[in-house]
Amino acid sequence: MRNGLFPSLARQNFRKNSKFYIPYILTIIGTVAGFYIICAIASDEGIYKLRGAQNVSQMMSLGLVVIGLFAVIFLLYTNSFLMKRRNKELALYNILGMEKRHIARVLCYEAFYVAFMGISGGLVCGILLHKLVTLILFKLLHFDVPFGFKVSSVGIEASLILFSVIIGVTLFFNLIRIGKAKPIELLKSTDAGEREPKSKWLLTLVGVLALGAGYYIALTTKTALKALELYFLAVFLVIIGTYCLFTSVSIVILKLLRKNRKIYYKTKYFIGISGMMYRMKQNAVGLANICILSTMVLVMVSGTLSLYLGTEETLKEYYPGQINLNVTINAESDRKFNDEVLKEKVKEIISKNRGEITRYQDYSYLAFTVGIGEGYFHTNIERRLGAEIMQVCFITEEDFKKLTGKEVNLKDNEILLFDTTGEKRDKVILKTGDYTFDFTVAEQLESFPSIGNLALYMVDKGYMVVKDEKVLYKIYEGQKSAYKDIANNIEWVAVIDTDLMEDIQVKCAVEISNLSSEDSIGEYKSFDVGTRAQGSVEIYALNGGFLFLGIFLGLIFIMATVLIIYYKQISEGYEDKSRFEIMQQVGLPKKEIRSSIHAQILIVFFAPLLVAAIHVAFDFKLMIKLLSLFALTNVKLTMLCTIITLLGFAVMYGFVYGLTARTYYKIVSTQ
Amino acid sequence: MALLEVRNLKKIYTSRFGGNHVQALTDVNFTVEAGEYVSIMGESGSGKTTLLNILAALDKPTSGEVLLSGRELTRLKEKDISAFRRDNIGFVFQDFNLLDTFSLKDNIFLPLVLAGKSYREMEQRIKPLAEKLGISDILNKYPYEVSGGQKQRAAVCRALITNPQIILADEPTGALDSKATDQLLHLFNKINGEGQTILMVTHSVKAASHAKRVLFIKDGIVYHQIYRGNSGYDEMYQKISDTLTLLTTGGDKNA
Repeated sequence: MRNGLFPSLARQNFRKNSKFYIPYILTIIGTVAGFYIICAIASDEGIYKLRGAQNVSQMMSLGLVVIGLFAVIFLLYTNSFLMKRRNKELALYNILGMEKRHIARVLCYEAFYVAFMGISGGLVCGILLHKLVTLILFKLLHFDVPFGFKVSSVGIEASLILFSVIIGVTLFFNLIRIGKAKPIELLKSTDAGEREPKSKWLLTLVGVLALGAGYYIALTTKTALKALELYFLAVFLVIIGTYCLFTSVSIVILKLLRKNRKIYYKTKYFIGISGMMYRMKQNAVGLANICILSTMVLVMVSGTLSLYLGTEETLKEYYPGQINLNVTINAESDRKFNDEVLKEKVKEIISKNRGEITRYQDYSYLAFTVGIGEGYFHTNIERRLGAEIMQVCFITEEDFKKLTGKEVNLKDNEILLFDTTGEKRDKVILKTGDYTFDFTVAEQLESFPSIGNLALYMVDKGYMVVKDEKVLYKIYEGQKSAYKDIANNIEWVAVIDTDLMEDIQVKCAVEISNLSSEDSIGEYKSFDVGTRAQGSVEIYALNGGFLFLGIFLGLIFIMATVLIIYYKQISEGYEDKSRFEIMQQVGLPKKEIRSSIHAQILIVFFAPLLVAAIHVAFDFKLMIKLLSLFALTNVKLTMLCTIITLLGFAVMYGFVYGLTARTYYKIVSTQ
Repeated sequence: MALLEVRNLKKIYTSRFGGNHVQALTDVNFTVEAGEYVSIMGESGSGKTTLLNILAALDKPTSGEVLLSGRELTRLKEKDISAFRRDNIGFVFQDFNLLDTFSLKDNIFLPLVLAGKSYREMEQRIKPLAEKLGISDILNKYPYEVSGGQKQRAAVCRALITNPQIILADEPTGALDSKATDQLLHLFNKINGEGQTILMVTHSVKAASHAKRVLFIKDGIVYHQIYRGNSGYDEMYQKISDTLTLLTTGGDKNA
């Protein structure tokens, strides 16, 4: 056979199947571009040098893995869809006298063209967009924007290798398929799957149970740490539930509807119910995919968005003042740490820098980790993941008054309690080493001022106010007797706000940290000064990085969703065309057919969105718990972000639906 | 008055950009009386299917008129056409046109459901019909589970269940083997014997030989017709064959 034939056949196939191939190649371009950009950012050494950027490159590496995995799964999926559509055509070649190895050659050429167009197009887009994306990323991170235009050779290499391999693998699968298949089977395989779906009770049961279990976890998880631990289990259960829901639960419901003759044999439902049954069979997996991708987009974007928008709040949690002093007290020392002297010296430094202190607060606290037992806290913590633990924190009523202005008069065995899990307690019993403390909760508080850097600990917390330093030191001793060398110390904290500019604040902080060598302030274990100005860089780098990844991955998942919707619309269109004609001949008015089909298509395409929204609603509680690990506790903000993300996504989804629906109607209405 | 009257029917297809005109029907005239069984024969491209589509109000003629029991089909409003088709015309197609999404029973019920009939009435109507057509046992099967002959009988059942004034059949035996063809043709004779008017378009001589009257169309006009009278199927078959030979060997109308 003539050699030029195969490439030209391959090219012709592209043109003939452009409806399927153009979106496929566009998807490859998008994925390659995304992969390249993330890869380029992750491997950019210039970024490493920036303060707070270590987190960013780690996050980018994570993003890289996600995109890579996604690319593999998604491109394999789309390829199998494309090949199913083309069975007839390939069988025809076979029957018309092309040997299988000839068809294989055509497929090789096609794969080569796909790879060439997809990868080179993707790299070009990636290189061009890299700069823009970096600008956006740096804006989010509050970094200074660098100059210059870079091309990442690592990015190009990695993208080239990964995507060549993926396309190679799809080609390999296709070749195996062609090798195995008989032409007659191929000719008929487009018509296969016309059989009425069986109701699978077992699968339905599994689906309901999995979904129920997932939702149950989401609703009942109390502690943030448990939430983190169970999150992936819940996600896994919900994904399984979603697949079962779409594949079997829908069919079972429809079958039940069909059994009810009064409903079924109504003009309105007759065509709809049976039509839906078939659509669900053909599309269940695709719809479940759409649903899961949508849920992921929604969760990622709303979570990272609220994290980012809540950064200022988080920052205040981490750094309550502009300048924050933290001195670890040496309780065993005879030369007590003298906070009054330190306070005076700090004031001197500020006024030397021509500033005025607008807020000064100091207090001491003791915080350590306890295990949660039946009705008491203990210090025999099992060192394993998932142990029931909590952070407890004690301050004196005097310091509590300094922080909140609230006057309290506690007895020796009384406390005020704020429990982040929201659990109601009348008593707090703490068994630590040889000591047992039995406190009565005088009042359960609704909130608590932020204490030290406790917000940094990603566990639930119990804040307690005790009578005085005597009780505090007693608890310290108790804890020391249990934890010995790893026991926590009492910390002294000073929170200072001034009217100075940020850079002067940083300068003051440096001067204050020099005080650590002064003899007059007494003995201590460690001395630490931090400014919010510097901390903000790191937190913005972290949260900005998260938001960036959330949006970036969100966009790529959306792209996948769009492609699946598009392909579904096309294949629905071809199938509905013949049904449309028959119904017309039997005497169903065109308008009614159109409205019936329209309703079915609407249900089919908006069911995933609806289910995704339900998933997100159930996930909300869990997400709040997780966000609290990042010191974000603003539920209202998270709620707002979730609703906005949901609305935005719904609008976009509707838009995509509208666009692809036009293709659908074009197919159905051509004679 | 005749049940179906076709007068000066003309249909010209114009390609999308108005370049080519194809005259499918030139000037077709004929009538069908109630209780008749008429076959229309012609070669591929002679305009048979176009004619049938116009009779079924699926297509509009360029000019001319079609009257079904005195009602002018071509003047029906778009929204009335479907209901009219449902109530007055039963269809039987070459490729059965059963919906795979429905069981045979539901396929047969389709026009009744569209007409808003109650389930009880539908059950009452289908019972004797299914009995007569020999499909009672397979009503709950799906089209892809039964043979071509069974599918076609289900399609006939769907056509008959509305008690239509006329059955329009488009190559009903085209996709059937000879045994199923015989069965179907006997069935048509049987229902015609019970008074059902049938108009069948075909190019199978055998199918046509079962009709009471055969019309031949060529180049868009009705060219000739044969009445069965008292002749048997074989005799009729011979007559039709002779006419077809005459037609194809170029016998001019005036020759």
